[in-house]
Amino acid sequence: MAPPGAPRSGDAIFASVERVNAELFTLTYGAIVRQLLTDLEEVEEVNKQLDQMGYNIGIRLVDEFLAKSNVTRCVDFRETAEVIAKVGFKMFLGVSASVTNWDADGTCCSIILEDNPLVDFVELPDTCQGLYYCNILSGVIRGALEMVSMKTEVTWARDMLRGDDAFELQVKLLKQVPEEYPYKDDE
Amino acid sequence: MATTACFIIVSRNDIPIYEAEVGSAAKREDAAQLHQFILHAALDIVQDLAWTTSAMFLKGIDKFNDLVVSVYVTAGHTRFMLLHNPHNDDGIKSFFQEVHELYVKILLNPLYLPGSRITSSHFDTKVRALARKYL
Amino acid sequence: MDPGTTPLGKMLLEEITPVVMVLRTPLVEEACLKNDLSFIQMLSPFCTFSNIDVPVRTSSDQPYRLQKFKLRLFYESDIRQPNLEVAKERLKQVITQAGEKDNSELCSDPPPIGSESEILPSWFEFFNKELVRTVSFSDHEAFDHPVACLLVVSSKDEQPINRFVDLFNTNKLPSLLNDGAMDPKILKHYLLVHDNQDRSSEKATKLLTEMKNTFGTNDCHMLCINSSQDGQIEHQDSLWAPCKSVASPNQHLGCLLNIDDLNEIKDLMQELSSKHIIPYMEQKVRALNQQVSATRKGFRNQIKNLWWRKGKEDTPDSPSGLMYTFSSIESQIRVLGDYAFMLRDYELALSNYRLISTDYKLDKAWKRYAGVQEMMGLAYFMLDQSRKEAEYCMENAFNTYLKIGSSGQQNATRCGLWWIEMLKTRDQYKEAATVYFRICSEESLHSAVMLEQASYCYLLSQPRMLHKYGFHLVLSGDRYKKCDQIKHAIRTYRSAISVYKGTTWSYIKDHVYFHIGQWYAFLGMYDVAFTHLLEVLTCSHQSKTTQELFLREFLQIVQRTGKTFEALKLQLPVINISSLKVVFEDHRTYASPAVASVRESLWRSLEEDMIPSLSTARTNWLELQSKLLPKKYKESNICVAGEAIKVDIEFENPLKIPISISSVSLICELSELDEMTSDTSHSATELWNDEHKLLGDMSSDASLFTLSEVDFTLGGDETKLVQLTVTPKVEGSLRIVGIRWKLSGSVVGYYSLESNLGKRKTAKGRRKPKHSPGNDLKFVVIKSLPKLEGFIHSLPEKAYAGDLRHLVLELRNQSEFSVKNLKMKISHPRFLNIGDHEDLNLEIPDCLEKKTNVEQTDVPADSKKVSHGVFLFPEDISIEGERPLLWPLWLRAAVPGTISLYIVIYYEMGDASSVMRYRTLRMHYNLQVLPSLDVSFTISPCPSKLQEFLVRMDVVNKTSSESFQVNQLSSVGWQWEISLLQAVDAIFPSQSLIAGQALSCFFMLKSLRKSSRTEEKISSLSRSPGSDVRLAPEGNKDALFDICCSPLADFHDCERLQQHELSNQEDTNTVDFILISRPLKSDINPGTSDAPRLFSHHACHCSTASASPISWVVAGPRTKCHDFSVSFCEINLRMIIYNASDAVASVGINTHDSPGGNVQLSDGNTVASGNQAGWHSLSPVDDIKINSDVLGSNVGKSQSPESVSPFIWSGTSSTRVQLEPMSSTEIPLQICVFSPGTYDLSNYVLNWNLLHVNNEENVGKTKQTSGTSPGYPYYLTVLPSD
Repeated sequence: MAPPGAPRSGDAIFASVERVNAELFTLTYGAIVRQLLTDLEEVEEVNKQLDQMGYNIGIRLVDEFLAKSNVTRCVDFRETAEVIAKVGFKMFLGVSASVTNWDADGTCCSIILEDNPLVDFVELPDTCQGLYYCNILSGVIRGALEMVSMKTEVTWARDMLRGDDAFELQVKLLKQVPEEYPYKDDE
Repeated sequence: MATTACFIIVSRNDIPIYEAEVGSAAKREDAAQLHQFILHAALDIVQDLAWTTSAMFLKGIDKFNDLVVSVYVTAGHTRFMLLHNPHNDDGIKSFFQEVHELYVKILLNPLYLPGSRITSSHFDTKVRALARKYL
Repeated sequence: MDPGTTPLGKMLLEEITPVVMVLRTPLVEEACLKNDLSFIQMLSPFCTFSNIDVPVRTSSDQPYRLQKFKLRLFYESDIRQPNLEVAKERLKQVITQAGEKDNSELCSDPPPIGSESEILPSWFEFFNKELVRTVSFSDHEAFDHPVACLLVVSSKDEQPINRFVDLFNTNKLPSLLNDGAMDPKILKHYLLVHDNQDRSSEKATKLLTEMKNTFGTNDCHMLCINSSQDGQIEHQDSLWAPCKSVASPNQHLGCLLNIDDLNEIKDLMQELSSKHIIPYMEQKVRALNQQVSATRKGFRNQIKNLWWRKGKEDTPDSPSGLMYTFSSIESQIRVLGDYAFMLRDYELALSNYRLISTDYKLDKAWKRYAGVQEMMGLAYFMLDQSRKEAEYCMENAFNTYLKIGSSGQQNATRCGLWWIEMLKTRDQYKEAATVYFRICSEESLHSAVMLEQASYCYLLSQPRMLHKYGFHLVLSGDRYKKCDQIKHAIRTYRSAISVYKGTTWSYIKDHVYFHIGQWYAFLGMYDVAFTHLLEVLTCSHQSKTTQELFLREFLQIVQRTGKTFEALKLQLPVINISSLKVVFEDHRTYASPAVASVRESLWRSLEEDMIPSLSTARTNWLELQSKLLPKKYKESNICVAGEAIKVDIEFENPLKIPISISSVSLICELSELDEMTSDTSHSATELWNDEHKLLGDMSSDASLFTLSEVDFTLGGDETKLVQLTVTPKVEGSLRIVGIRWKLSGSVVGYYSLESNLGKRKTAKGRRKPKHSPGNDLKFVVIKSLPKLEGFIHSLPEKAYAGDLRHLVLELRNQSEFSVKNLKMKISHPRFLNIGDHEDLNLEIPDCLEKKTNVEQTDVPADSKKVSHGVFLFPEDISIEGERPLLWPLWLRAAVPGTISLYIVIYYEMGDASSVMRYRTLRMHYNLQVLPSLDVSFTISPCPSKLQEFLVRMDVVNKTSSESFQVNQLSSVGWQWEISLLQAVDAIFPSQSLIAGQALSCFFMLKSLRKSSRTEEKISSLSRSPGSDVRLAPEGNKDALFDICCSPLADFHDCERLQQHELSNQEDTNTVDFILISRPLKSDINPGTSDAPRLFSHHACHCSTASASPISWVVAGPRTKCHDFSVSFCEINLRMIIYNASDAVASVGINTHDSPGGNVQLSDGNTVASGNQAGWHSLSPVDDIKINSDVLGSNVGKSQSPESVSPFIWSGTSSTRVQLEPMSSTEIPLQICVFSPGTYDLSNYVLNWNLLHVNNEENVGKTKQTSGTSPGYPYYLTVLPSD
């Protein structure tokens, strides 16, 4: 049940896709966040909204992802996380992440980003403390995984904007919904 | 020797968005407001010069007693105004240029509203470091 | 344009004119003083001639006519360099009185910029003139030197002739003439003054002729004055006004001078100037000119001159020293130049100036050089050519003056002023300003004025330089202050404020406003001072000391005024409008303020099925409202008279120093129903008068509502959340307008909530646009209603999991009206459960103990009407007056963690007439549950017996300190029966479970169920006795607890539901356990062990199902003796099969003797190689499953070497039976054995499958519906019997 062709590496895909100026991208995202901040003043709301947006992106993006990088079907959550970190992030953000501190029963891990194109030049002013600037990422992951029948809970464990030394996304597998999803790309 | 230097960034609509008393001279209570007065008054001169010259760095455009005002006008007509003693004028240009780079970074921060006060502590420390280095 | 018409030109035409020295006798003065005029003053109006048409011929041959001309008259005593101090004094007083003049508009607002002309103070001009005059009669320039001298004698003097003579004798003459700075022999003119009042004039005429004889005919005149007898002659004031500007012009000047006196004077002066002075100057100019041109013009002279200068190179460099007497050629040239200048022959003047300026330069006579340069500049200007030259000269002169130090200062100033005028006429205001700035000396009063003028120059310059304007105003203001010209200082600052108004340059703003405020206070204009100081109060950027200074100053001013100020925009403390929170109780009431903070939606969800749904509720009482209230109040909130409205708001102290705030209260207005229509809706814009109105009738308002007052102090940078309340007393419409507070007991500050809210809302733009901000500050007050207050007694903050408690809910109703049909709903029935009224005063644990006469009939569930979670109190209950309603509650800390319990109590008003039909009381408690005992059960079917299970209970004490005593374990439901396997003491060697201890013990569980599922389902739900096992040590005698009396049973149901959700596997044969334990009295913290407490732990849905639903046992003999010599041995066995599933199963048994038959059993694992005959030792049976496999395989293996089976199954090799659910059947089996030995009868297979699984509840569950299971090992030993 292997798909045609071996899974491609994130770099390969990243090299192939056409790209946009990083600053433009960053500023665009920044503009979105700032607009959200002005529209719904509470930072919490903004976090929610970002996550929701990310979710909406994720549920679409996963399809693209599976199409472009013909990864095999992941057997377990561990592998999924690896793929997200190594291929997914590389493919869409051009950076590669690492997966660490698994818990005992392999349902919770953290994806660690050393650098993150979203946050160039960004500095949280005092008014926006508590804002998860990159909350869209967590949403994306959540959405994408939900499409492949994994209910997850993605939270920020570390955030450079808050003075931590890296970005750490904690991905927690809540439950694995049985395979009734259209994404049985290999059966 | 004790150098007094007051650095202010003035937004395009003449609002100071960043102020720093960078100088080794002993702080005097009324110094702050005197410096502000001088720099504020110098805005007129900048206004005149800014549109006549294409140069960004306007050196020693105005003086009061023994204090000289040098200005660096960015493309967005934000003005970096430095009040300093006449003797140290070589470092000023490079000081301005480096501050300009910092400023651009600040400006690119999506969460920073252009023309609003610069509250970033990181920026502040950087600027003061530059001041120590060049002034 | 003509330079003469420019301001500078006019000034020059006035200042640089011939000087006439006046010598007169005291009597002359006397005569004049009858008119309150000195002699000169009397003449002065007639010394300026607009058009005396005099031909003048100077150097050139063709004459030109002179129109404008002016003489300056001075008494001989005045012809000397004015004393500096005196001059300064005069200037000072000029300034002061100028200051006094515009005292009026000091308090008015600063004029807007743009109207320069009227900003520019008029007295500058006058001041400058005075300033210029301070340097008159300097010896280094000639135009102040008297050209002529007028000797005046009164006709009353005796022998006037002698008087004339000794008037002009040297000792009286000014130093200039005496010390040879100027030529003493000047044009003299003799005048006889006759006062017509005392005598007829014939004596005078006689005198005149006598004079003519002595002094020559045309140099003598006579002047008759005071001709009018009655002193009632009025002149237009303008005549003498300029010269009497200092004195008060109330007495009418020149009262005795009638018109022909004036004419006479006019003619006299006219003649004097035209017939004598001008011609005299003319011819002097001509003479000098020839002389100069003879000696100095031409190349030879130049050389000679230079060489000569070189000669006297060694002369000491004395700036102003008298190295040049009037006779010296240089002085001559200078005089020539000046005369020419005064005669408007600027060309000539210029050439001569040029001539000597070089000489002076060479001689280093700097002062004279500067003076000449100055004149050159002026000459250039008047010629209106080569501005550069002019300005260059002026600057040159200016610098030179400055260079020679203090003596040149005044001259420099004058020169500067002229220069400035020159620049101004050419609209070079900016340069002018800089010159003003340079004029500033250390002498601060002058420089103050100069700076102020400079500032106006900046204002006038194109484009305007407002920043500079402001800056210089401030500078001059400071200087004014220094020489305490406070009024001027204020004036300058006021204009400066017009520049700095609303500036964000914080330090500047503070400086300006603070100082001007201070000065106003100094003048005693406290109100203005106050308003200005208000601006600087919130100076968070300033240093601590500065802040203290500001605040102290401010408060001092307030004290000095004595009254308490009311400031609309008092910025101290800062009110954080975003923190505003209004809590009021309409139909929803809160047990405690904290409750109000709970999300409304949460309450809604709780209340929805208790109350008539909110919207309809609103309408139906609102239409009631609409009868008595105008429509506009529909949208506004409802509150009840006598119940407080709470407003939470944050006060923030921006300063680093503590401030004390007192009597903080809301500003409200309550208009009663009747006048509500008339009451005009105040918009926040006219808040000012609005508030004053409120202040006015604050007393009357006190009858309408009561306000709470709060006092507190804010430390540096501190923020406090303050709660203010208003309690309306009567019905009507209440508006919360704003907040008022007192800063340190003296200043009252107002803050308008509405306007600021409005600002905030409009700022926040599109969100909830329909909701207008004012509305949550508008209330409709309805008449007072009963209101329940409730709280729960002795609800602990924290409890250990499983803790079971008996609580009491108390409801009070203060009002006299009663409330009826109460309902209650609790958010977490799992934790908090409602008892029924009779067990109000029960005691745990006694209430739970099993009664000996167990009647299960009392089913309280029926008595308390719980309709989907809502508990209805009995109808007969109605609460009023003092008597509170007590109601029991059961608390059980179900699971560890912090849980927040929400309780809503709904009640309706006793009288239907009231506007609100119902209200709800909302209560909220937080409970922290700590983990205590952790109980888990594992059940495995018993190998030997059907329907029996081995239960293993693991108990861990998770607490840190507590130790428990396990009392009893009960299995719920009649269909189970639990029993001990070991003795209790074996289980709990130490009577209790200490902290952190874990233990596990085993029980036997027996299922008593018949194969009827329907009623069994019911019974599981209904409270069924179940069976208990006492685990308490033998020591204590307390009875078992009844797990089906109300609290336990109820909680158990909740648990069932809860845990059911968790483990969503629908399985019928599950069992629930309840473990009851109690903390040991020997507690670490005896505080908690006051009442005997009870813990119950519920484990529900412990599945008893094994792998397959089919279970069976083979029953039969284990050993048999048989005589094989007779025959082979037949043995009968029984197989009992039980179908534990809820479906009909068909089971087939296949026995097989052939090795091929049981190859499938040996599922390819290669354990136990090597052949084993029928005889082999056996490992003791402990685990069924493993064993079966292994043995099976062994059998498989063992078949391979000898292909003969030790026994054969007799009878059918395959049977199939149908099994009803939950039923068992029995199948006979038989085997034949041919030789003694031990046989394992495990080589059979059961294939079973469940027919027509009724799958409505078990969809999606992966439950196997068919299977094959190998036989159990069954060992039969056959012995040969002999």
